[in-house]
This record gives sequence, C-alpha cells and structure tokens, in this order.
Amino acid sequence: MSREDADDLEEDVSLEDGDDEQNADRAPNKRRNRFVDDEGEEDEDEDEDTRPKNKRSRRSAFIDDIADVDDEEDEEDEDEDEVDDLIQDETEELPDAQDARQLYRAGREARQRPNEPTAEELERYVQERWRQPTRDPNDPGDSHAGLVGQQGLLPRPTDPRLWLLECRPGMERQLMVALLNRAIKEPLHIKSAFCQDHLQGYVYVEAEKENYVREAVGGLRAVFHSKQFKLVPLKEMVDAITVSAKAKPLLAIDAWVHIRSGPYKDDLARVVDVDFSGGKATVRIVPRLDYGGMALRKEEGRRAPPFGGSRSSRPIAKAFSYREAKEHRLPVEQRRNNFGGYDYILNGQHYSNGYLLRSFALKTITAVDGLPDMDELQRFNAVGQAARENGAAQDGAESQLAALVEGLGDASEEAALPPLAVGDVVKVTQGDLNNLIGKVQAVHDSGEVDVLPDMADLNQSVPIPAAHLAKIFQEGDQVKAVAGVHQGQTGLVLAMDSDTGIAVVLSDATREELKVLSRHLTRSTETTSTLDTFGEYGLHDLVILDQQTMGVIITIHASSCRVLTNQGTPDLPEVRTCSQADLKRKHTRRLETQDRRGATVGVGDMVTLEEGHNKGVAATVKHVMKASLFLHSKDFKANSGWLCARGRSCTLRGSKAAGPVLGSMSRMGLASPAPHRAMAQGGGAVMASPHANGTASNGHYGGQATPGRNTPYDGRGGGQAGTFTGRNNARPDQHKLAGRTIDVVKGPHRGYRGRIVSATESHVRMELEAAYKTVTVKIEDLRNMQQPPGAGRGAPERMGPPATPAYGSRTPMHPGSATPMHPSMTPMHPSMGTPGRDGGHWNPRALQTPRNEPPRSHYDPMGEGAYQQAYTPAETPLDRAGTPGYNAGTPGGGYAQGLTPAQADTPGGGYGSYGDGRTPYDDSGTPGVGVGTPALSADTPAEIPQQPYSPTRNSSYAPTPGMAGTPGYGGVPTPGFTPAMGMGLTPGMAPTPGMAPTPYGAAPTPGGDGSFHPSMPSNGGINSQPFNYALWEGVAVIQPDDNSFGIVRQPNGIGQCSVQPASADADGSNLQPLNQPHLSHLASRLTLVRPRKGNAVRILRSDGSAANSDALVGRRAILIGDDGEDAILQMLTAEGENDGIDWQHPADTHL
Amino acid sequence: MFYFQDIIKEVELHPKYFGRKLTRHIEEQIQKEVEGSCSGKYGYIVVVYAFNSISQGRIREGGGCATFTVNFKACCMRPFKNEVLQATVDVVNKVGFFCTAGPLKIFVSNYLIPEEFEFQMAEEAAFVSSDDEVRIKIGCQVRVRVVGVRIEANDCTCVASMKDDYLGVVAIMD
Repeated sequence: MSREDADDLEEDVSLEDGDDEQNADRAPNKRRNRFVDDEGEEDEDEDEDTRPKNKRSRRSAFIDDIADVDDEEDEEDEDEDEVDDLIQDETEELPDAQDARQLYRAGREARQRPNEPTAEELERYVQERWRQPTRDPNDPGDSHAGLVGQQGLLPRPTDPRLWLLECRPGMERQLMVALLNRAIKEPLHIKSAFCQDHLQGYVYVEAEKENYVREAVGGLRAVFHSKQFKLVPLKEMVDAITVSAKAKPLLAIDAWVHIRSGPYKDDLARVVDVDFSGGKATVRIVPRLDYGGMALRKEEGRRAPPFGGSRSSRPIAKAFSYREAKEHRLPVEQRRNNFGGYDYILNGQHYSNGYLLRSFALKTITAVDGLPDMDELQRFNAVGQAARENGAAQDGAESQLAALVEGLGDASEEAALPPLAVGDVVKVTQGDLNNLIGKVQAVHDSGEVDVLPDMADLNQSVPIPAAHLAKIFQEGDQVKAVAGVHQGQTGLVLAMDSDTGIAVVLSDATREELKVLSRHLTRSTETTSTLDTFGEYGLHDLVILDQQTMGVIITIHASSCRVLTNQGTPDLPEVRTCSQADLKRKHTRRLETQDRRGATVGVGDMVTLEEGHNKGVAATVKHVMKASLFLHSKDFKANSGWLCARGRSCTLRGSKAAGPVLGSMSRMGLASPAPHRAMAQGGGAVMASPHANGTASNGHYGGQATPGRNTPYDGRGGGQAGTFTGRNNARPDQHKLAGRTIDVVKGPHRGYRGRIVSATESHVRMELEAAYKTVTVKIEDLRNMQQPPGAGRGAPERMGPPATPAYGSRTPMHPGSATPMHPSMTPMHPSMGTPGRDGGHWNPRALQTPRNEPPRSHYDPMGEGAYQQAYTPAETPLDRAGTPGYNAGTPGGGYAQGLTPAQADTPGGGYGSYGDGRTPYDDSGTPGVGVGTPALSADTPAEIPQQPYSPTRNSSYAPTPGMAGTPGYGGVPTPGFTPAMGMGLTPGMAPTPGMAPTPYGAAPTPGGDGSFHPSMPSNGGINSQPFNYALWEGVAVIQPDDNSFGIVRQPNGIGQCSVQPASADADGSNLQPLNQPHLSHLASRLTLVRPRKGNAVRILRSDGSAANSDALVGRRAILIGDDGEDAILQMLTAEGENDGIDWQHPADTHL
Repeated sequence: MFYFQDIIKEVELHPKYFGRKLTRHIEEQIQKEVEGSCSGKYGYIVVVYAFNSISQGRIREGGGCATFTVNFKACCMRPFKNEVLQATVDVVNKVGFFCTAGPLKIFVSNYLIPEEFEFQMAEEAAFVSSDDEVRIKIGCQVRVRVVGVRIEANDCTCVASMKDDYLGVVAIMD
C-alpha cells in the first residue's frame, strides 16, 4: 500500500496551489501529522510529485483511515475543492484536513523562499511535525472509528480508481520497489501502488486514469503488459486493500508447520527460513526416502509410475542415512558443516542432521497452532537424536533432553496445556518477577494468575500472566501426568530441573524413572498402578507381534506398551516397546505344552523353573504359546514379575506325571546314550536313547530290556532293577508317538518323513509330508525306532543330541538313588556311578567322546561331582586294566586316580578305605578296586549301607546290580580281588572300545570305590594321603583271597604285609587272632575292616581336613562315634577329641 | 520412626480353639496376622508387645467362628517425610540404590545422590565419590533423608535423598 511520505509532503507543498491559504496560520493538524508519521513508515513508492495537496490530502486522510491507502489527487482541483468544502462543513474531520493543509502551507512557504529554510523555521517545522503524537490520544478522529465513521471513509466514484495488474508471480514486491524508485526520479501520475502477499501475480495501482497506470509501469518487465489492466469495482476496493486476518500468522523461523500435500502430507516440519516474497519457506522435515526406489528410478531413467497412478506407497519417514544411500549406490555428496558433522546432498536435496532441508511453497504449509502433538514432536526429535548419536558420540540422554526441550519451543507457545490450578507452586519465567516462586492463589479467565510469592515479606498476591509461569515440583512430591506420553502415570518426583522444566518422576506402576515436562504434571495423591487398557488390548494379554513373536503386555503407556516376548530367554528377556500397530492380534486360545518331564502344562498351573537365575522359583503359568510359557511370579524382579520360559525348562509342580527319574532319564538319554547304557546295565536304570524314545519320558517304569542289552549282565541288571527301568527304549508310549514328525528309514517308505497320527505296538500310521496320504509304517522302520544293535548304541551317531550343560544339573544318578534298587545295593554301589553319571554334572565332552579323554582324567574341584574323565576307562581297558588307573573308569575314577601309578596313590582316597588304590604299585592287582564285589560288600560294608550319602555331592550312587550280579563278580571270593581287572578284560569291552561303556568296565570299577564308604567318592581325591603301610601293624583286615579276617603283623612299608588270620563275627567284631601261619599279601589287596563304636583304632592317614589331623596319623584312639563320614575318636595317648578325621583314616585296629 | 500404638483389631477364631487356651489362641492369632504387616495407617507393625483387652467373643451366624475385638499395643515403624534414617544398602544399580531400614525398603535415585558420586561397575556396582574415598556399595550403612513415602495396602516404599548435610555413608560392613 502506498501513500505519501512525509518527505513527499514537503515536496508536494511547494507545488501546491494556494487554496488553503486561509488556514495557513492554523496550528498544524495533529491528525494529518499523525497520519504522516504513522503511515510514513510503511513502504511506498508513490509519486512524490503530486502537486495539489489541499483537499486531496483531506480525503486522503479519510481513505487512509479506512484502507491504508492514500491518494493524492491532482486533477479537478476545483471540483475536489468543492467537495472538500462540503465535507469540511459537515464533518468533524474538517479540522484535520485544515491542519494538514496548513502544514503543507507552511512547508510550501518555506520552499517558496529563495533559499533553504532557516534554522528556526526548520525547527518549528520539525516540532510541529513531531509534536503530534503526544496529542494523539485526544484526537477525536480516532475515537470515531465506529461503523458510521468508517462508512464515511468508503471510496466514492469521484475518488481515484484501483487497477489490478497482472505480473510475474513472486515479483510483486520487486515491482513495488521499482515503482518507488521511478517515482523518486520523476513524478508519476498514479496515487499509490500496493501488492498483497496472499495474492500472487497481481498488484494494485491507484490512479485516476488507466493511462497513468500504463505510464507508470511502462517498461517494467515484471508486469504483463499484454494483459488488460482490470479496474477494481468500487465495492471491491476496500476488500482489495484489506489485509486478511488469516494471512496474519506469519511463519516465523522455528515455527512448527504441517505440510499440506504431497508425499509429506501431514508431516511435521520446522521452519528454518521464510521467504515471503518468494512465497517459500525452507523447513526441516523428516525425509521420506525410498532409497531402493530412487536407485531403480535412476536406472530406468526416471520413468513415471505406470498407469499414471501415484507412487505405489509412501516411504516411511525416517532419518536420512548416508550408509543406506550408499548401499543403494546413490550419488550422495558430502559436505562438512559448521558443526563438525556432514551435510549431504542427494538428488539436489540437502540433508542435515538426518533431516531434509527443503523449501515448500507457503501455500502448501500450515502453521501449527501452539505445540504440535507430543508424539509427532518426539518422532521429529528422534531423528535429530539418532543422527547425533551416529555422528558425534554424545551422551544420549543429554542430547535427547536438549533436543526435546529445544523442540518444545518457548513456554509461550503453549496455551493449550492444562491450566494452572490453585495451589500449584509456580515459578515466574519472564518479566520483572523472573524467578519468583509462589503459589497460585487464583486463576482468572483472562489468563492472569494470582500468585502469592513465597517470600516472607510479600503477602499480597501478584497477578502474572499464566504464560509467564512454570510449574515446579519438589523432590518427593506425588504427581500425576495429565498430558504427554506419560499421561495417566503417577509417581514421585525425584528431581526437578526448573530451567528446562523437566521433572524426573519415579513411576508408581513400573518403578521406572520417567522424564516428564513439569507442565504436564499435577500434584496428586492418587496412585495408579498402571494403565490397564491399550486399545483393544488389556494389560497382561497375550498378543501376537509377528509370525514367530508373541508376548505379554507388561506395561502400558499412553501411546505405547511394553511387551515381553518369547524371543528372549529367562535370563535375558526381550522386551519390546510396541505401538498399537505393532500388535497384530490378541491370542486367546488356551494351549498346552509339556514340561521337561513331559507332563502337560496348561494355563493356571504352577511350575518350578529349572534353569537360569531363577532356578527353583515357582511361578504361575499365565499363558502358553507353542513351547513357551509366560510365567508370573512375585519373585521375578524384572518386567513386572513376568518371565517367558520354555516349557522344557520348567517342571510342573505336583504333577502326577513321571517322577524325577524319568524326567532326568530321558534327559540323560538325550545327553549321552553311552553312559546310559552303562548305567542301564549297571543299575537297571535304563536310558532311552533320545531318538528312540523321542521325548522318552513316557512316565512309565518298566521299560523293556533291549536285545542289545541282553547280555547276561544286563539281564541281570534288568532283573534286579525289576521295578523300574527308565528305558522306554524302543517302545515309547504309543500315545507319545502320535503327533511327532519322524523320518522313515526303512521299508517301502524309506526316505519319507511324516507326522504320526496314530500308533500301535508295532505300527504307526503317518501322514507323509511329501505325498498327501497316510500310510502305515512298521515302527521299526522309523528313525531311531528300530532296536539298535547293542554295540551300535554307543556309536557316536547315536549320541546325536549332545549333552548340553543345561542338562547337566540332573544327573541320572540321583534318580537312581531313589529307586528301589537301593535297598538292595551293596555299599559298593555307591561308587558304582558310571563315569557317565559322574557327579552332579555331565561332562559332555567326556561323555561323548570317552575315548579321547582318558588321559585327562582329573578331579574337577569345581563341580560337585564333575569328574571328567568319567568314562575313560572303558576305552582303555586293556592297558589300564591292571593299573589303578583303570579305576579311572569308575566314577570314583573321577578322582584323580590316575592312570599313572603316581596318581594312583591318591585314588586311594577315592576308593574305599580298602583297597584299591592303596598303593600305586598294587594296583596292578587291585585296580579291581572292583573290590566291591557284591560278596564283599556283604561282609564288610554291610553295616554301612548307604547312609553317608551326601546329596549335594551325589556320589554317584547308582545301584549297579549288574555288577553285583555278574557271575564273575559273584565268584570273586575276596573283596580285595580285582574284579575290575577281570571286567576290563572281558572281551566285550576291550576289543571294542567304541562301546566305551561296557557294562562291565563300568560296573566293576565303581564297585571298587564304593566298596566301603559311599561317601568316599566325594571325599576322595581331596588331599587324601596315601596309606603308609608301615602303620598298619596290628590293623584288622580282610584278606583278599577268601575274605577271611586277619591282622597285619609285619607290614614292610612297601606294600607287602604278613597277615595273621583271625576269626571274627561277620561284621568284624570280636576279632580273635588265630594261631595259624601268617600269609603274605599285597597290602593294597587288603581291605580294612570298618571299626565300630568302642573299638580301638589307629589313624592310618589324614585328609588334612582337621587342623592337626596330619599329626595324628599313626596315633591310636578309641572310636567313640561316627557320623558315617567322620569319626569321633578319643585319643589314647593324649586326651582330646578329634572329630575331623575321615572315615577312611580310622582304619581300625583291634588290639 | 518407631512408636508405640494402641491398635484395635477384630480377629476371627475357629471354634476348635474355644477352650481353656482361648486367650492364648487369640493372642497368637493377632500376632500372626499383624506382626510384620504394613498398614497405611500405622506403617509396619513390628511387634505386638501387650494386650490391653480382649472383648467377649461373638459367634457369627452360620459359620461357628467367633470374632473378638482385641485391643493391643504394638510397636510400629513408619517412615515420615524428611525423617533421617540409617539403612543398609542391598542393591546398587545405575539408577540408584536400594537400602533397607528394618522392614522398610528405601530407594535412593541417582538424582538424589550427591553429584560427586558416580556409578561404577568395575568390580562391583557402586557409587564412588570423585575423590574415590567413599563408595556406596552393597553392605554399606548409609544415612538418608526420606523425601517421599508411598504406602500401599500392605507395603510401604519410600524414596530418600542423600543430598543434604550430614547424610551419606556412615559405615561399611563386611
């Protein structure tokens, strides 16, 4: 809009005619002046030349008031004058006009002087001109800006007309400037010219005649001269010049906008720069790039989408990724920016900090009122955040916070937020009272808030605009979020940063620390545990995320929820944060799965976790999905007490299903077939090979002996075991077969695989996967269903499923101990544990590859019973047979017994007090350790059944009926005997090391150890000293050959003793030397007699467990008590009790 | 803070207890129900140490059980805002540490630990002061000021601060 400037006026004045002389002496009109002052600042260009000012100016004043346009007229002065006169008479405005005229007059007078105005004149002029604003308030003209007054200002036909010119879009403002320049140089006949920002491609020019307009714009290229200049109808003139309120909210830098159309439709953007004249704004926006598409398009030469349709899909908005662009081989230009990072240019578009910098036409963006949606804002900020993290490594939380705060803009933006409430503690953030803290006393509609300052002297509340206040909270305040992402959450304020307005809140529901804007919080005494619905989903619902993934909603936030999925492990749970869109559907079917023992677990059952940190914790099954159980227990600290575990890692509580034996057996089966076999044979606790049994645990005792096992021993073992054999062997329960998918390895359908739909004893019906039919197949034809040949069993292939450590925890032994067998067990048995079953832990390596291991055998102090070499002996039967090392094969072997003589000493400890291991040398004869023939046990240990068995150490207790029963053993007359040897040599074992665990091998040896003290295995090997046979004089022993009693008379210290035969009761009491010739024996073949209470004893060796025990070796004492493992002795030579001596030491002496 | 409190409570007793030892049963029942519990009103009831009175029983229709109104004295423990407590640290993680003062579980957020303490994971999780002199680790005795208490139906948690004069680690127990 143009109008004359003060300067113009001055020039005009000189040209003015003398119409208004009469008024010359009047005080200059403030109105006029005001007009000049106020509007002079607005642009303009008009003609400075306008000569006649007088009346014109009067009218101009009117028009200005109403429309910001002023006109100056030149022609028809006379007419105008008349009109003006009329107006003068009628209107209040008159004085204004008069004043104005007077002003002009004064100016003109000044001009008319031959020279420049004098200093006084100038001063007067300036004063008059500037005096005006002070008087403005009293200006009656202003007070009349009512409807009527406005009406009078409307343009009339006699006023200059308004012409609409078409011009090049975007050039409007330039055109105006050009006109202005022109007018400065030479007078133009137009009154004014203006353009409207919202009206692109048009400008208005005010003039009396079209000709003047043409004259004025002639030669200006921005104007389309070919187009007709349109005359604006009188009625529309006001509209033309009215600045629309709509267009008012100009985009400011950093304003938030939404894009109206195009691929970025509805996306949030932030203004970086605005170019009003160009009608463009540069914004920062999250790019929606389809790198793949861009790459493709390149190759195909920018072909438009086929069928003219729009793009197939809208790429998702995410941060620009240089890496990704590179992966698609897009040409990306990299430029270092001022912040130490890089900006990128791809296809002419600039990307900075992950955002796209792009200009949009102002028309296509809409300013956001107030603050954008929190979600949007976060998404927007996340991009910058991600970019920052990728680039310079920054403290994530810090920068995020900074970004968030930055993103939020200043507080004044948010009118839409929850209003302050009476009682809120606030801090003033702007104005005179900045930083004042006070309490809200009252909130007025006007937006003012009465704040009572929190200061001793100030007890009067102060009105402060709400926008200048920020809520603050103190540590420990109980608050509730009433807006934002955490809406609905309650918690305790932990910290408050009043500068950023961010409070850290400890959520009541999740016990997490949330960062919440303080203006989203209110004080609240309520505590919500949590939100409990999330759209159609509820808290703790089982939801499907994708094909493989499902989970339980564990917490719900306003716009997201956290889902514990089945993809993690109990120890490393995976929790995803999901939006509604991520949740595919709810899962409501109730399914069942099996626990590790094969028991069916359904919703509502209680299970005990068997693995991981939470081992042993009982939990309730809340959902079952495939093999996953979603458990809830208060004992789970994380994830609101939820945990996802596999069914297999839990056991059902109070289940009727298989006892522990089966469960573990099947496990064992899986773990290591070979040992099983050994075990099976030994103890009758038969393991199913994993495949054969499949899940094995059929929950039934009494498997069948497999042919393979039908060696005499086995039979024996089986027979003895009688009551149970875990061996489901080849015949898993039929109903367990159903539903399994299995390969057919023989017969007409060989090579097929199918799902078993039903099964009988001998046949199954299965649906073949490859052919759509159901066929009947012999059960033997299925993989792992055939009876494996005995030897084959141990073959590596069968070991298929390697033992995993996980299984380790359950040793087969344990179960064994619980079996009925035990009672019948001879003391020997305890040691019986076949290597495979060694201590509490499986040693998969040893188990699976027994052969390789032997030399390594050593005691593993860590594991309770994890004796490694476990199985070794079996393989090396021949070599070792005679050596104590042989014993290694026994579980006891686990203890160092080394394969070498040297080690052999120690084994002594490992083995029963009797026996074997005593001297390295001996072993030759004694590896037999085997000692423990049933017979033997019968004599001696009879008394010590298995009491001392220590559960924790689980000295492989397994009963080894097989052994006991083996004819060979049976025959063995003396314990000292070396059945082990014999066994070792049994053809079965020796020749076929592959079979590793021949029953014999295994069986006998354990016997050796266990012979006496069940607990020995565990004690053994630890620090036990070898026996010093020199101390054995007078010690009661059992002679190896006939199991008769004797008393050592002349030990020579190197392993030979002469023994005087003696008679005694079966349990070793009432020992009486017989007057018979002494016999000479290898000391290591002698078995010590276990002393009884009240017997005089000699301490033969010490395990060092008691402080002074070493010093006591050789001393004599009275046995006053024993607890199965340790003996309590009363020393004979010196008073005092020693309770730290192991059973093994107090070999007795009867004097 | 520990304090003595007279509490009145109703207890229901099965008829099988109606006999010579009725009073003892009632008392036992009260003790069983109340000791170790936490109520919003009294905080933790640590121990019942005296019975003031036991009303006459009132047989409930239909069930045969009788209700007795028991008035007893109990020692209670309730945290109050701004109270300074001494507690033993039992969990330390990066968000802060948990400590217990008797039955009460206290959370001290790292926002409420003086700035000079920094979380370290090196050998064991601990907050270590900048001069490396003081470590807040499991087993420490700390003195903290309660900033917020949340009492639920049968539990009570509180948030405490260490950011104040005279607060901090007071002893280290092995």
